[in-house]
Order: sequence, then structure tokens, then C-alpha cells
Amino acid sequence: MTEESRGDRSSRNAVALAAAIAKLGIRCALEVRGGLALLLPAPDEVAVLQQDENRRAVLSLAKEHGFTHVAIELPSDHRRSSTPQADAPLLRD
Amino acid sequence: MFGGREIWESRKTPATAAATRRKVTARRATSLNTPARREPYTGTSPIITAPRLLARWPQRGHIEAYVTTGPPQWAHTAIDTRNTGEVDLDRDRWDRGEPTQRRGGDHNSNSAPASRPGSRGIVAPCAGAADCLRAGTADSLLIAMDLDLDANTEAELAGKTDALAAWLRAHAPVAVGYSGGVDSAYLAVAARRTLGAEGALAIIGRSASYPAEQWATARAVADRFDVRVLELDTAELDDPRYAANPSNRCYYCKTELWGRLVPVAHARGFSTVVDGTNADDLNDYRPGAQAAREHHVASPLAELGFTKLDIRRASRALGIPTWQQPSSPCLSSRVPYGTEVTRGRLRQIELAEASLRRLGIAGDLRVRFHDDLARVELAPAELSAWLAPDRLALLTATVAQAGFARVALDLRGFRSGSLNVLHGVGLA
Repeated sequence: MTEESRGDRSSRNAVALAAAIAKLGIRCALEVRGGLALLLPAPDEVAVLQQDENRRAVLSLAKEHGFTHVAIELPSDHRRSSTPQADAPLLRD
Repeated sequence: MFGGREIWESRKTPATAAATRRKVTARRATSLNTPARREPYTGTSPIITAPRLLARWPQRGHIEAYVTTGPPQWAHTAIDTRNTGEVDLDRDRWDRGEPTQRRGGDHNSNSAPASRPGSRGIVAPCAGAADCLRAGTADSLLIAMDLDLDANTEAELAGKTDALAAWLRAHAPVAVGYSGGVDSAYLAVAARRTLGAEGALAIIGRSASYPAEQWATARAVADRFDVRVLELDTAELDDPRYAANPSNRCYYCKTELWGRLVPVAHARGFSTVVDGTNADDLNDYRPGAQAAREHHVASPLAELGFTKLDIRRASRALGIPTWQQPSSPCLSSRVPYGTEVTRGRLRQIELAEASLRRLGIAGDLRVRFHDDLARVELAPAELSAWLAPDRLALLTATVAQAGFARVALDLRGFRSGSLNVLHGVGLA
């Protein structure tokens, strides 16, 4: 990881963020890169984020958990095969 | 967090005041960094007190609202009233004060029009809003902004353009550091119109950090307005202090640029060298400005108070096609501070952005470099459409072809200075 982000790194809580996003009903893995939370959703979850309100909710949660940026990565075939279930967020840091 | 208030708007002449007076219910959000002010809004002050509203509608049923609390803080919100219903700010986001840190510059709206007459549309706060207003209805907002403020703004802008012409005449002949961006394009054309073909020279510094697409725009504008152009190669990437990509990287770039450009301009008889820095830029983190000062490069647009919005409006009046062009900083701005800038990486970024443009993506666009990952920022208006799974797959494949192993789409969309936020670089 080459990044340092603004704010208190200790306030960043990827586990809690993943759980909070799961509570929204969005199944996704979460990878952390400094202040960037990278979501890797299940293929059928991507369209959910087209809705402004869902996107805003995710952004809000990310901010609450100390992240400045949130991005979504479309799962590759490889990742698709290992997409986690809603209650089992994959965390990578 | 909101302080409710009524705003009354009227024309200046008593004869028409009664007929045109409109009541606009507005509420202003306090921001994280600007205290709420309670003074009455008369709508007659051209610049000063908060909030200032400017409006224009390029087409029926569409308005653009510029909301400021006085320079340099302003925000841009586009409100679609074609299916006029109530419009309401996304109060939750305002209440969170999100986002409020950015000052100056251009900001695109994040808006969703009312879908049918009588329905409520949501206008989300745009990036950069430090203090804004909550409109009661779109109609009222539209009327209020039309009556006085547009006229005031036109008069104000005319004053600035006259002042610029006078400044240019007093400092002729003038060489313009020219990139083909919104600011320098306007300045070059204004200099050409004021001083004639022999009195103005636009000088382009070319390097790997300067997109070929922008070079083409620069040449096209110069051709169209008969601006003389000189091109110089610059070699900022050969300077290890630049390539190391510190937070003051722009200082080394501009040192290289002006170090080459100014002597050439002087040798050709152009005693004055200017750049396109505008008044909004003065409130941003711009380490390159120091290099300009060291090389005695003047910034008449900033000196005369031209904001980015002023420059867009003045450009539109002159028919300069860059008036609606997104801001276009150099390609190195996509690379996080501390990550080495190389020709290969810049080429990757340039290829990716050019390819995305060919897909029809309009407005602000950045491909941010994160080693193996490209993080794409789109204008908020484009975002929803590109989150459709098939289109996201297309976007991903397109960017991957530029050599990125992984591609991600930023959920918030374009943010000017996004990497500054990520890396904690603030105002100097």
C-alpha cells in the first residue's frame, strides 16, 4: 500500500463498514487501500448501486467509518467464483 | 441545521417592482466551515453578500443555479424543471455537511429531476458547496434568479472584460502560456482581439503530461481565432524532483515551463508573459503559482477578479468552444503524491481517458492511478448510467486495455482534487 489518507487512520473500520453495507442488503467483498474502500459486489448486486439513494447510503456509511473514497470494482471471473455471502464479507487490507 | 428564511426579489425600478416581486422561500444550510448568516437578501448586490444567486437557462425548462456565499465559495447546481414539481435539496446530505471542504472551481451537480408533474425531485449538493440554499419551488427559484442577478452579472462581467482589455493594452505585447484549457484559451483570444495578431503570442509547452487531445483543442482554438502559436518542448519528467511526485510537484513543472518559455518570449519582443490563473485558483492549493511569480509571469484574470464562471461566460460570449469544456489539469494530477510519475504511467492514463471519451462519456472525467488499479471518476450525471452491469463491464474492459490490471468506478463521481483529499493535502 502506497497511500496515506486524510484523517485518523485508527478510526477506519473496514469490518464494521462491511457489516453495515451487508445490512443494506448489498453483498460485497471489501478491500481497503488507505482511505479508499473498494467494493467488490456480487454480480447481481451491481445494479443496486445505480440507485442514487443506495449509493448515498453506502457513501455515508463509508464516511462514518473513516473512508474518504468508495469505488466499485466489477468482479472478474476469478472473483465471481469466490463472491462471499451477505453475512461473510471478505476483507483484504 | 437549517435556518429558514424568506427571500424577496424585485426589480430595481419602482414601476415594475410590484409586478415582478416574487417570494422565494429559502433555507440556508450552515456548513462545517462557514457560519450561517442572517442578513436579508435583497438580490441587488452584484457580488458581495451571501447568498448570491445567478441563473440562466440555455433552454426552456432548464436552469442552472449558481449559489455562493461570496467569492470564492460557490457551487453549481443544475435543476431540471421540465417536469416541474417541487425540488428539494437532499437534506440528509446537507445536514451531514457533505461535502464542504473544497473552495472555488467548477462543480457539477448531482441532481435527479422530478419524474412527473407534481412529484418531488432531489437535488443533491454539489461538490464544493460550503453554504447553500434550500429552494421552496423550482418556479420561484427560477423567477427570483432571472430578475436582477443575471443583469447584474452581465454588467459586472462587462466591467471585467473592459478592464482586461485595458490591462492587455497597458502591457502589450503579451505572450500567453497556453494550454487550450478554459482559462488560457479565453486569455489568448482576448489578447488577440485586443492587441491584434502581432501583439499576442500563445506559447504551448508540450510534454508527456500534456494530453494530445488537449493539444488538438489548443491548436483548433488558435486557428479559429487567428492566434499566433509557438510550441516548445518541456522536460519536467527528466527532473527527478518532479518525477518523485511530491505535493509541490507543480512547482517543478512550472519552473521548467516558465524557465523555457519566458526567455523565448522576451527574445521575440514579448516583454509581458501571462498565464490563465483565475481568481478561484487563488484559494486552491497551487504550488505552481510560486514558480510563476519567480519568473515574473502575470495573472491578469486573477488580478482582475475573473472567476472560472466569469471566464466561461465571457468565452461563451466570444464563441470560444472551450467555454463548456471541463477543467483539464495535467495528466500527472491523476497520480497520487509520492507515486513516481513516469511517461509510461501518463500514457496509460491518457489512453484510458481518451478511450472512455470515445465511449461517449461527457463532462468531467479522471482516471486516477493506484498502481495496478485505475479508479475512474465520472461526472455525477453520468454515474448511474455507467453502473448498469453491461456498461460497467464495457468501461472496465476499455480501461483495462490501457494496461490496468484492475478497474474501479468511484461511487461519488468526479471530485476536483480527489487525490488531495485521499492524501490529506490542503490549502497552502
